[in-house]
Amino acid sequence: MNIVAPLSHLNEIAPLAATGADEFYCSVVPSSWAERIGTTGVSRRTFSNLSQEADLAAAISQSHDLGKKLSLVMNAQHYTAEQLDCLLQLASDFAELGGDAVIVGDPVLLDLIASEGFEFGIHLSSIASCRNVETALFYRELGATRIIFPRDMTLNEIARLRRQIPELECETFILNDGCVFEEGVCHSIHLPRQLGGAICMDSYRYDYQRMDGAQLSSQQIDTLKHNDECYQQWLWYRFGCGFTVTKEGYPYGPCGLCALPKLHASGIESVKIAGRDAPLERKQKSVELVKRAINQLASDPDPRNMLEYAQGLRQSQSQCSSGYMCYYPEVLRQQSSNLIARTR
Amino acid sequence: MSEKQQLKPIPTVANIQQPQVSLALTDPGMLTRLLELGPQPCLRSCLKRLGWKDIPLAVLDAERDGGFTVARVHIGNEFCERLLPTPAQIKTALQQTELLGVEMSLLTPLLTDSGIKRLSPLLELLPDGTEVVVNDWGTLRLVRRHYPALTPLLGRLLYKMIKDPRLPSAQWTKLHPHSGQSKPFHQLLARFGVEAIEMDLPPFTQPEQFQIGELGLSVHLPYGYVVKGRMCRIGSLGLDDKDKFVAGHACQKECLDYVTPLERPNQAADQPAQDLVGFQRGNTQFYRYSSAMEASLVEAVKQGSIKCLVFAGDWNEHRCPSEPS
Repeated sequence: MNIVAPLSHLNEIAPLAATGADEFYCSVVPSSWAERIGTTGVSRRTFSNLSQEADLAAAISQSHDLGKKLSLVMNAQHYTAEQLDCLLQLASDFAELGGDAVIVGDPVLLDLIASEGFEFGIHLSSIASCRNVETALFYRELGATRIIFPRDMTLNEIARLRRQIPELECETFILNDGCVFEEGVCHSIHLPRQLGGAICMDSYRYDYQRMDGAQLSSQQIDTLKHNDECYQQWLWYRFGCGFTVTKEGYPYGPCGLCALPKLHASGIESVKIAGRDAPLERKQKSVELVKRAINQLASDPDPRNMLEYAQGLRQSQSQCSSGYMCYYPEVLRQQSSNLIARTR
Repeated sequence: MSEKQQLKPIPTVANIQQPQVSLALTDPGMLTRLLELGPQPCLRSCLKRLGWKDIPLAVLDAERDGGFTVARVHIGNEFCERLLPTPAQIKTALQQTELLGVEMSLLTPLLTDSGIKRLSPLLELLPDGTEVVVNDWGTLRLVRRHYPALTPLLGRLLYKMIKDPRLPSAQWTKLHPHSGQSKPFHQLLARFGVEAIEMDLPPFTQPEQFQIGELGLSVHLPYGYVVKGRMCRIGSLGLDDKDKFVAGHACQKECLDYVTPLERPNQAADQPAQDLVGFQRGNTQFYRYSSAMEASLVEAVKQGSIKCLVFAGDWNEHRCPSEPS
């Protein structure tokens, strides 16, 4: 399985490649976009892009020299006609530079790029929320060559979907940066912290009321309170456990390592590490963590052993056992069920 | 050709296209509450039966003799596949809409394969020409390939725009301007037989947002949605802790029972929030349109830019007694 790693600086390529990354993804704001559009909204983020257009050529070249691939991200949910025009030019430049793939979330842009017949691959961004076969076929017919599944699909959903689209490559999330809502249908902006930050982390006060006009019973109040406490705990895990790390520097937070055997058995070719914004050290430790788990999978494909191995990598049973840190918590639940069955 | 025929029609109130009025109902059972009102009921009476105290867009309602008349209902929910109606509910809804003398549209959400499997039998039941509001490109493909007699509309989950109710100024919306006037967007929709789209009013609504060429435009009101999740906070209420907030989790449809207003009491004193009024229902956060936003909609209606006004019937923040007076 390929490890797909985030990139925001040229100096990250060599160390990440040496650690085990097979593919990189990055974004850039071309000067033509900056001049015509006047924003940085090429790929849904105002920062963590390559610092200049020339870096893109260097990134492709350096990646290829190391035998790695590089994808260019242009994954806003939608673009205006003028923005599409700029991005088609960027795609054309990327093709000339020999780039390997673009990552696109807007079907209009995907369609336009595909119709140009560029030689690079077209990866459907997780932003496109491809959760069913019909959607995968829709995008395949437009020209997609790989589907990056959105966060929060079950392993069974992934396996079923993967079986139905054998002609497409598939990629899933494996580490870091959870999303509380569905990013593909989120119409908010990650505001600066003083304005509230991401809407999913904003300090909303909840005051539940019954739709039928009845008063809440004391039992209902208690149940709602407990549910909210669990939710706050889940949020903490979703946001990288406060971006904490192990003694070895491995990141806590959303993780799917123990699902690697099932993902592999399903035919998933690539696993994605999120976090273009992260510093190099965090990126490198993330790649190292996933690489160690993949190496373990190669030497011992037994899923039960992978669970133990993956939890051991972080040396923190308590973090894993909550299930709130998991991209695929069903692995943990299955293990618990097996344990109970064996005990009986 | 006579001189009379050569003249262009003078734009008057009479020949400006008046929007159709629809009522969105997540719970098809709510139709039963409306049956007593008789055929083509007035909107005001319908909303009262659904727990509303004040009618949105009251200015326009008052301009019409007897107020708005409901001519359509949108059945279903755009935000959760667990709220897909059952075939039995659809059959009943078709009978009841016929009794009410109104047309029916089916609202559909973002779907998993399991949801698609449950949707197909519903589509089988719909008469030719029925509007299906798609919020998943796969649903659009399904409709076009297997149910070509149905009429797909692009839903508000797929018609993208920035709709963050916390934005302090219109400047922020320029980061990702809406794409309704984009020719390639129109071309893609035309290839898939989509001739109309649905939208919310974004904060800082601009007049050009109603100008979308030949496409028909339906506007939901008085709420816009900001964001929805797959995992549902309130839907996890009855689950064991370890089973809460996981993909595809079960629920007891607690969204039908609970609602919560959304307030941000902790905003810094030097950055006071000027948010639109918000609430969360199920897995989705909504905001209520400001009077300025409603005014922009009124203007768009008067310009003839709106094909359909879709009023939030039962999916709102109102606490509605089960037996309204």
